[in-house]
Amino acid sequence: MDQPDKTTTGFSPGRASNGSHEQLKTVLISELPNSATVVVEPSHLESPNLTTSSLNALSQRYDILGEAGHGNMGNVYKARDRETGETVALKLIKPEIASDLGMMERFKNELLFARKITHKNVCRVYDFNRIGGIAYTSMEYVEGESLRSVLNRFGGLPLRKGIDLALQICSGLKEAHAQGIVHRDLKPENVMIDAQGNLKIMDFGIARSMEAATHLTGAMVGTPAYMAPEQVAGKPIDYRTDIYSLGLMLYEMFTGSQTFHADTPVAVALKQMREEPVAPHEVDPSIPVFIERAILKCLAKDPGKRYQSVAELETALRSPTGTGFPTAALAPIGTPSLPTGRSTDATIAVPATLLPAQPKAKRTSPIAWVLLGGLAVLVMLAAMAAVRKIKSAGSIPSPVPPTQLSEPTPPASAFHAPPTRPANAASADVTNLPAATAPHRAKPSAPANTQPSVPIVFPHVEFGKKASRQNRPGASAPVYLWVGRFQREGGAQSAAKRIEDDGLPVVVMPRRNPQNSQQFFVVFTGPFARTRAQDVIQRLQEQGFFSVREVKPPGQGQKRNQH
Amino acid sequence: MAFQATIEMEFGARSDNGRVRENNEDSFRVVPELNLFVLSDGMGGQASGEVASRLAAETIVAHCREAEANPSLPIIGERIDGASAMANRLASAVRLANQAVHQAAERNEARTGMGATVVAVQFADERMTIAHVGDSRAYRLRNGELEQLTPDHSFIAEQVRQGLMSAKDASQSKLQNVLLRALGVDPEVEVEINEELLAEGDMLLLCSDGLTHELSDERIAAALCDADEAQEAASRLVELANQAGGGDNITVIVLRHAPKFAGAMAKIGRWFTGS
Repeated sequence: MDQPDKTTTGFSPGRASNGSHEQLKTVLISELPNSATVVVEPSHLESPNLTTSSLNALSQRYDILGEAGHGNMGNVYKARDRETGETVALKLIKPEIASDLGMMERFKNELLFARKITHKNVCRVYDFNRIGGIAYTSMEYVEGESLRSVLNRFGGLPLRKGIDLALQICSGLKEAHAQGIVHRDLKPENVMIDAQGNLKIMDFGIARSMEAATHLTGAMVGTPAYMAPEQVAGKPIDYRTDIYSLGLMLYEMFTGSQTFHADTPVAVALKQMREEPVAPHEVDPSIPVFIERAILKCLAKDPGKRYQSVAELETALRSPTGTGFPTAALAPIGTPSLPTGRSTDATIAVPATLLPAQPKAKRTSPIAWVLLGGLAVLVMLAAMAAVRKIKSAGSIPSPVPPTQLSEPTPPASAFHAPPTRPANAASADVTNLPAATAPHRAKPSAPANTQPSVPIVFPHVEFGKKASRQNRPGASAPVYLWVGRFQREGGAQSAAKRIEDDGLPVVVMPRRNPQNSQQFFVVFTGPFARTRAQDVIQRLQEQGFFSVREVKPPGQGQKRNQH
Repeated sequence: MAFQATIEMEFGARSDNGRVRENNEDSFRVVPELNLFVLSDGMGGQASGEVASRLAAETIVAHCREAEANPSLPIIGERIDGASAMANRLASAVRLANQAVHQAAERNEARTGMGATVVAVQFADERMTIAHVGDSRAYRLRNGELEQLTPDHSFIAEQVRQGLMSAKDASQSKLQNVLLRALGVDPEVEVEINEELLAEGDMLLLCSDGLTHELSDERIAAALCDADEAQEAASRLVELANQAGGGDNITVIVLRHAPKFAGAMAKIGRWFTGS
């Protein structure tokens, strides 16, 4: 039996880059090392490759359709179950672990425990099984994109979209907590969003089952950028740990910037314990007060000062005034990617009885604690040394100079290139989008708008604060680049593709020229940290885009004039 | 086998599986003719922890031996300004050990992720160099007081150093084994070097974390003080750690800078290579 004392390596550098090839493609990968899970050798448990023998074994029951395309899903394969005809995702367990019956038993128990969660926002775990010498779990296959990849491409999310996704996460998490299951490794990588905007939290039970299985080989703790202080300290964990991690995710979703930045994952982890987050409005002034309050409360270092249940957080995200503000005002409107069930969901009162039970009772022996092994902080150190971290701030803008805009199309649903949207949707979004998106609508007259949420969601920050904001590394305003204007969508798309192939985030926006009402398309790329913009411009110029220029992010320029 | 160190250094050592583990991933080497003592604690699945610690210890000894025969043997890595030749040599040996473990891990897929901690000490007259990577420790007992000479390269120790965690919380943390540095993980490693002067009557203890996870500093100090001989102290420490649970492999090397007259008459040290 092998019983290593400790494990310092989690991710071998090779694996880190494998696991995230999707991120390497995009520009904002700078956070990669910090978002690598500090686990102990996930490779301990998951087989890195589908070898011929395991393929043969699995093909008794499944048609392997290929690697699940998303790097974040790790060693997961898409397969069709011939018995049920369903498409599933298969996660393979490394043979040497699978051959240790005791370890497998623990792994299985934890995983099957998590299988109890049945909820539309939680990726279903179907089964834990063996075929031949291969042990694997099968789970719901989610066709979509991880929140990580969405954030990488677009920075922050528009308010409405952000709230929608946040509530979906809350919804899934609430159900899990009610079953006594703590996720322990919530992060954008573990959240998948499908083309309809439905969100599913993945890998419930994985963290814990890996911990259970690896009590002798090392333990998983989490991901520095998304770890709660109690996790960093190696203290006991409960559902409030998830609330903290969710707070970190919300921070990033709404500001486009991770809460804590540092050169090494270890330093990031230590900041979770020590450092107070920069107020979200200092990163992005357009963040409404109630969102900021909710985020900061999630991020209290002391679990007792956080929301004591996901339901409380959910309520806070829904009723800005705290007095039962009508949710309809914030319900997503007209976005093609909206889930249909959500708004009903939003009206359900959340009974305090959903307070989750702590699963702590199942804790194992003191020896297990001692053996709880090392995490992979080390390897990450290596990985990170290589990667510089500049995370730019800001949410998704439509950084078009006002004169060019006639019908602003905020990329609220811009997970994929946004289609033109009905006029009413655009006007509804005005309340939530940064002013630059729709400068002519975002004037102070906006409160007179019929949207009841306007007074609350409007930026509450005086612009005098901006100076200090710009001095703060990581919080400096992001830069967007205007690449070019195209008469035909095809031309814009092929330009976008070339840019995307070069690893830069890009978006194509349809625009209408008010003078002759002709439609054209504008290609933007960004956001980038200001320090980076020149390099990117040069890269684009090398590709033949000679008219590239910087455009201002939202919340500056025009908006200041209005105040 | 028996040795008497060439300076008046009496020593004893012992390594034990503990009461939970079925194999011993600790390794140690005692090389009296070089005044060199090395202890390494391996990690990694599939028995690779044993391989890593043995490879680390052997590489360090081999490099120091070679340097003894050939003083112009090149130093691996950058020379440390202000450090003695002995310290630079020991650091060089540890860096070489890192390379050896790293390459072995790279060559063999089954050994991926293997690594080791190390603490090595070498004497020249009254001077002593300690090199370490990871959380294997060197302690000095002087005038009845036990002092840890090697700050752990661990995540929890770092939090204590930064004032984020009390020593008490640290002792209860479940992340005790999380290291910030180890041999074999990266192609290069930063080696921490300490140079100390020995005083008469000093005792030194090199140990793996299997000892320190089970026994408090007070109990360790008491066991060192009570023993008449280094070997007796080493055996006693292992026994005590086993009584306290023996959750991990336990390896100790005890060195005593004996008074000159006692040194001459010192009983012969023996060491056991475990059960």
